[in-house]
Amino acid sequence: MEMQTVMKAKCLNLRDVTIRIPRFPMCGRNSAIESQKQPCNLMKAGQPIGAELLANAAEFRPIAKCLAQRRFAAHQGRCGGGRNVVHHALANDALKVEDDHKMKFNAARILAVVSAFFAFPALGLAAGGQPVNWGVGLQDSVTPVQDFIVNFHYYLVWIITAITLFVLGLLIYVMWRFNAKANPVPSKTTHNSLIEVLWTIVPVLILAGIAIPSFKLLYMERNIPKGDMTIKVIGNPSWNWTYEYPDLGVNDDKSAKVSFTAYLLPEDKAKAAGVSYLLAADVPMVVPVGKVVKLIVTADPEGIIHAWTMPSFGINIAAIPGRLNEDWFQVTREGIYNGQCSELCGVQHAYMPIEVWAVSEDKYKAWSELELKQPKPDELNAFLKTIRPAAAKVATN
Amino acid sequence: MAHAYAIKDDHAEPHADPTGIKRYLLSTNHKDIGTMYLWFAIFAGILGGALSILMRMELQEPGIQIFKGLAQMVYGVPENAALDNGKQMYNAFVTAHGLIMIFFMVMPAMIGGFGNWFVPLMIGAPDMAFPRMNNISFWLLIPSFALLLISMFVEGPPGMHGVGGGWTIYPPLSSNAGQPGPAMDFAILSLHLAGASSILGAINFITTIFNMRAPGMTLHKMPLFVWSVLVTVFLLLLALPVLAGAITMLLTDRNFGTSFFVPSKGGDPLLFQHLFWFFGHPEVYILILPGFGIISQIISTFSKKPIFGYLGMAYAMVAIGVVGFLVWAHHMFTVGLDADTQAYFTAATMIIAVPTGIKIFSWIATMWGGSIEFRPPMLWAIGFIFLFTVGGVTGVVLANAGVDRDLHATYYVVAHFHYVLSLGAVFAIFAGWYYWFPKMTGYLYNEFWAKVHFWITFISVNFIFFPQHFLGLQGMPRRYIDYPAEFAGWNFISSIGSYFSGLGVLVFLYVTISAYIKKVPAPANPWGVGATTLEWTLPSPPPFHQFNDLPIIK
Repeated sequence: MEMQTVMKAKCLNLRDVTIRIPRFPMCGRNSAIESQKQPCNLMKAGQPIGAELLANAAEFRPIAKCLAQRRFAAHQGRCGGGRNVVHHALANDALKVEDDHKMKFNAARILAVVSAFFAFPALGLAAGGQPVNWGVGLQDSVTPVQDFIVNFHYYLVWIITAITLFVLGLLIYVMWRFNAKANPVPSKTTHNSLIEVLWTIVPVLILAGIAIPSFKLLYMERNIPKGDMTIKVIGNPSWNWTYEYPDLGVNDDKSAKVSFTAYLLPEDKAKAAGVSYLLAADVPMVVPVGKVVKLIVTADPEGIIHAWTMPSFGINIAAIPGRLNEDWFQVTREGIYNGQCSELCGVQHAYMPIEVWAVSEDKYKAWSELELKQPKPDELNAFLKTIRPAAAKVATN
Repeated sequence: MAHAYAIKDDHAEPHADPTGIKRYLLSTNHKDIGTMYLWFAIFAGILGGALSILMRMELQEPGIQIFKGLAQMVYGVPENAALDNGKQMYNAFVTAHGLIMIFFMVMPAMIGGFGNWFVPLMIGAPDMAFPRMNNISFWLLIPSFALLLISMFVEGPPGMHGVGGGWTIYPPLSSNAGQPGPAMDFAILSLHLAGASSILGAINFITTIFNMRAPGMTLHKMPLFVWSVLVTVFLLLLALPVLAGAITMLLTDRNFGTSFFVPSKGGDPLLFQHLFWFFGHPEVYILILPGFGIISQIISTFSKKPIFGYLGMAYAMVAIGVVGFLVWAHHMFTVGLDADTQAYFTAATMIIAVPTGIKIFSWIATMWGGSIEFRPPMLWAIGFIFLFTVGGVTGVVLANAGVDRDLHATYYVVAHFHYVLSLGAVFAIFAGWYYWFPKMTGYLYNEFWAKVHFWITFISVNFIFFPQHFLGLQGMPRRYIDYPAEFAGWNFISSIGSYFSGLGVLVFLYVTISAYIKKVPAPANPWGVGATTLEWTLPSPPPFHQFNDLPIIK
């Protein structure tokens, strides 16, 4: 208890530091909103939450110190003062990942500031991991990649809105100024070298301004980091997903000991459970929060192409028979996240949802131990109820 | 009437002008063939539009309301199999809607219809270079269309009907693993015939434009519509054989035991996607480039000004055509291409925005300083510029492979390509229709109702497609018969919009049919001093054979 108080005080002292963090590309506006509600129990004793990684970035050393101490603090309290700390520590963890790939780029930071400035609240109403009715923006982010996508997309939205309004404005002006009544005698102008050069060069410059952060994002997505764990995802011809956890042990025939198939949760059961039909699966793919999870995605060799898609992670990767595709994510927030198959795969295309639970390291460990024992469905379901993360809340601001 | 002018011709006919079946079935006249193409496109467009309205009815709210019953009604399947049959039927509708609108509506209208009618007239040629080949180009489309329609009524997946693979027909869904029934074979053969028809047409246009221009009509004096068709037919000639190759490989995979795309026998489904999009991406420019040409003519005519930056406009289309062949894998950003490949395709794709921007700004510059009359074709053309800009900028968003993770195969993509095609290309077609209708038929139409048609369509299509951006951003995948309740709001708006666009089609039919009934004769040039291309020097409609004395262009 005393320790906790000390910790809280330290976190409060860090307020000034943490406020600066959202300028980082990984820590966009949405993340900041979410993190205000972030319970501290993300932090677990023994979980390598990235303090040592953080220490590399001098700017964040004070936070890292706080975090390092926090590890030993009781993890059930709420982090009052340093409310941004946990989330951004994780984001910085990802920054480290990025550093590994020698990608330093300050434009992205500027971009994030600009986009955070312009991002108006209405565009970010989506809850993490779920679509919302009448939502108009990207789903809220729970991974560093999606943080970047969301910010970059804000930036793009402003550019394309400006271009569209510019063209619309020109059209309205010429219709008003040069209609037959206002201007009965047409000019004969058909050339103006300066303006023709301008409307070639300016779009090139705008595109360059888009391309630079775009490449930065692309290489962040596709330079797959060394993962903390690997999950193999298999799209089946019977319209469901098989998940294999080879890290948890393999049988003599090299097949993973933990391997299960997730089906659509039927409508009546979804209704009874109060979850969204067509988004909910009967069993989730469970991952530990904060860990870099590497995905190996494929489809049944005799089957058809599916695509494993998780909007709030910024992932859409095709599951192709005969090919192994790689992708990765690092969930920064506990929760239930849903996606749907996004490659037309036949009759039941709309009926193969994807559900991921990001849980604490302890809960993940407990889950994996149970899975290794090949639990009966009832047993598993009863257990899953105990580790079920709180439903994602809609961010309101 | 055509006959009256023909008889007045100095070049006395040794035979009377043909009538009835002889005139149309055996036609070698570019104008008659163009007319048949246009009527065919209207018929196919109504059918394809009806499919889309049925899909929007299904999507109006979550759950399956329409297609279960529709499958029972159409296919006579028992109650217990109706739901799955309905789902397959929905996928078959998605496929047929795409293929019909692309191959049997936009292409026949723009290239076969307006291209056939006005390329020879605009370059001062008496007809197309190969009139009989022109005939077979058109008549190949009929069996092609029939095969596609038949495919909807024969077995696809076991126990179900139709091709449910989308217009992209990716294997293995389109091979024996996904849909072993003959429906897919019908669709493949349909595409073969449509492709052959288009390739023959392309050869015909290239030959005509290079060899049959009137004296003095140099390439750099050709109207921009002719330029646009020239670029388009080169794209057709180079792209369609690749599609033909890909679907032939698919056909032999399905029927003769080859394994080009069968992974368990050493094939690779991704090969098909590369081949398909090597055709597919130029194909979308094939759909829009003639529209660029039509819009250029109309903007110039109703601004009473020559087009601004003519050479830039012409070569922007050439540039779009060339670069269009080098960007195909931006449709495949999520299939696992490595980062460098994706970076290249991102960059190449964004480059296309530059010539497209040149075109948009040149149209506005043409209007700048003009004396603009807001006749119906001009309304459609201005609507085109705005809607195409909206579709264009979302294309720039999608070009970014990094962002495409969140948008690939969602409704954002649906919104994007409907803004450039359903709104872009279709607005260009309606603009062309109202622009040239008096020339083609010799009748004036009711301009008030043509404007009503424009406004209903303009407003309703925005209601359909703008909310789909939001659905896509929220992550709603495309080609879904049913969706989570979280997507209900915008889907409802979108569906309501589609019913109003259907109303727009009825107004269009009213305008067209009433013009034929009222028969108000049109002058040679109903649009005034701005209409400077050669077709306006001829009577409306032009004589059965024109330019027996070739016009001399100074």
